[in-house]
Amino acid sequence: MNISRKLMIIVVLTIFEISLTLFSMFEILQGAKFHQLNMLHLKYISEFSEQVMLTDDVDDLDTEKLRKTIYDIRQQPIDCLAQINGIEKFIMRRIGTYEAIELCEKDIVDANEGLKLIDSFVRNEISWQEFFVKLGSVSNILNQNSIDFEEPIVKTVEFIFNAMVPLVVIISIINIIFITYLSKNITGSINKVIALLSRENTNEAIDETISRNVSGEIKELLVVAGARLKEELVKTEINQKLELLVEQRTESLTKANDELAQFAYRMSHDLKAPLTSAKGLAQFVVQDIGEENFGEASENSVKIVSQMEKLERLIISVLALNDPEPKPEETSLVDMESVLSNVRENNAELLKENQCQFSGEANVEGDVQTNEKSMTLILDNLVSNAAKYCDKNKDFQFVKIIINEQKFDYSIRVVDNGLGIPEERLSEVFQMFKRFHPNVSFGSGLGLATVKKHVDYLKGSISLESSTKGTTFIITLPKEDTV
Amino acid sequence: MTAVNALIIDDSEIDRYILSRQLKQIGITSIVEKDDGLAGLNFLDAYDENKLKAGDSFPPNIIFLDINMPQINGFEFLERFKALRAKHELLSCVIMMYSSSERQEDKDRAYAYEFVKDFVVKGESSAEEIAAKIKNIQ
Ligand SMILES: Nc1ncnc2c1ncn2[C@@H]1O[C@H](COP(=O)(O)OP(=O)(O)OP(=O)(O)O)[C@@H](O)[C@H]1O
Ligand SMILES: [Mg+2]
Repeated sequence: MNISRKLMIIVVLTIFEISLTLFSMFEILQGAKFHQLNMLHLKYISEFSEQVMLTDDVDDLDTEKLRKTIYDIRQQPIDCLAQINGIEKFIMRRIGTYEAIELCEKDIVDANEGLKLIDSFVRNEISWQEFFVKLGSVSNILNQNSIDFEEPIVKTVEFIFNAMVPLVVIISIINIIFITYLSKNITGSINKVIALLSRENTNEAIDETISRNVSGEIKELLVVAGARLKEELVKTEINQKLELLVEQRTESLTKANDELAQFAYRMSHDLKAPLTSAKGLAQFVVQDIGEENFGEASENSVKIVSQMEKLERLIISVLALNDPEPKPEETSLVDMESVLSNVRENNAELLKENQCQFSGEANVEGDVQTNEKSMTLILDNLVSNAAKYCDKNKDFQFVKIIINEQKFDYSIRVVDNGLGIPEERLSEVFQMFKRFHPNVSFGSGLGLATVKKHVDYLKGSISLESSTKGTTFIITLPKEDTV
Repeated sequence: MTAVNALIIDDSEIDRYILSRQLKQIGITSIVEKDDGLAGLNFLDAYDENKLKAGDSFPPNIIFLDINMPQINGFEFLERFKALRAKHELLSCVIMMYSSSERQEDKDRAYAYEFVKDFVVKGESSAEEIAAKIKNIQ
């Protein structure tokens, strides 16, 4: 049986209990009312007998007053009959107290007898003495009716009291037992469900467990709640993902913004610096020429040229750094040997200037699918650095490129025995405008930032090891078909 | 003008040359050049030795300080100089920033040190203007 049916039984029982109680109360009140009517009856009867007794003389006799008193007396049985209902009549018949009703009817007949007597007397059909005697007996009969009436009424009330109270009590007890049972039953089902749900490591899916072990409304509740929960979970998950995404985007935007601001600042500074210097020098040149100090003027002119060259290099580097990301279709099968010889060619002058030995080996099978321009740019920058920051105090200077093909990727190592990068600055090497040996060689500090950018374009990674013995850059590039 | 001992700390050789030539034009002859904050600090820290060597032209009483330098930049220099001032007799030594930066942020950061007295933007001041500024802070 499901919970709502069980609850329905409780409701019915309770309604029955309440109506029985109300009925008993009503009946007991009814009994009291009949008592009251009987008291009134007795009062009028005693008034009546007084009127009869106190009349010594025929002339004193007030028949109208007597008639009115009898009317008063007759009114209580009439009221009584009017108020008695079917159920009461039924009960009285059953328990043998129906005589009370008969007594009422008889009382009315007896009162009417009295009225007839008065009529006969008024019409002088009977004598004064006879009338008087007969009135006395009417009064006695009515009195006796009143006395007889008490007993069945008391009996009826007693019966109702005795029958109904235990009945109400019994029904209440049944009701209480039933409520207790039901609440235990509900708690039991809920506990069972809790136990089922908190049971760990079951192989069965929770849906199956529920449909096998739970029934009725609790099952329905679980199914609906489960569905709802799933929906909510999905929603929360989506929301969390969105939030995370927004957070990540915001973070990368903020980072990009900071980088851009830093870039703009450094750019304006670094572009301006050679111009400012050149301007100052040019003013001196004008001055020196005016003073015919040609030696210094020409020295400063050379410096101006070097400043202009610096500016030119800077602008070229900046343009390279801002090269747009090559599109995936811009890759091709590249012969690494020819890339290596191009790099050597491009840096020939620097290498020679610094007496730096270049060597390269490509241990790859066939051509490599990659972007040739990015690859050359990366190696150019690394080789130019190795040449520029070589260590003149060592017996000889070298830079070596070793390209190895591995199962899933290519590893490219650029090894030199140069000055090395101070350990505490290693984390800054790929940042723009960072230079650690400004007095050793020219440069704008954009080379390694460009390298990093192009390694990213090729979806690779770059790391380095550096000490005073030299520096090794290690680049790992995924093979095209494993990306 | 009391005798000025100038120290120029700037990594750009050309900028040092320009400034020192301007200083010479306004009659300052005691000029020392250093190419990095670190070199500047070492120069000041070797106080006794330099005092012995240079006599009256040491210690400097005006330092022209660049901001962007590779090893120890201008701001790091200011922070370390704060400690050095107390260590040696450098309390009368003031600093004039000498940078191509025009950012208010950089100016505020420099002026936060009480011994930073002025901020010269490279290429914007003539020799005469620099003379006026020096006079102003002495
Ligand atoms: N192989 C190396 N050995 C020692 N130091 C290096 C090496 N490569 C780079 N560095 C240091 O890292 C700094 C940054 O290098 P990067 O290539 O970014 O700039 P740059 O060479 O100074 O200028 P640019 O390449 O823009 O002309 C260099 O100034 C140098 O101090
Ligand atoms: Mg470089």
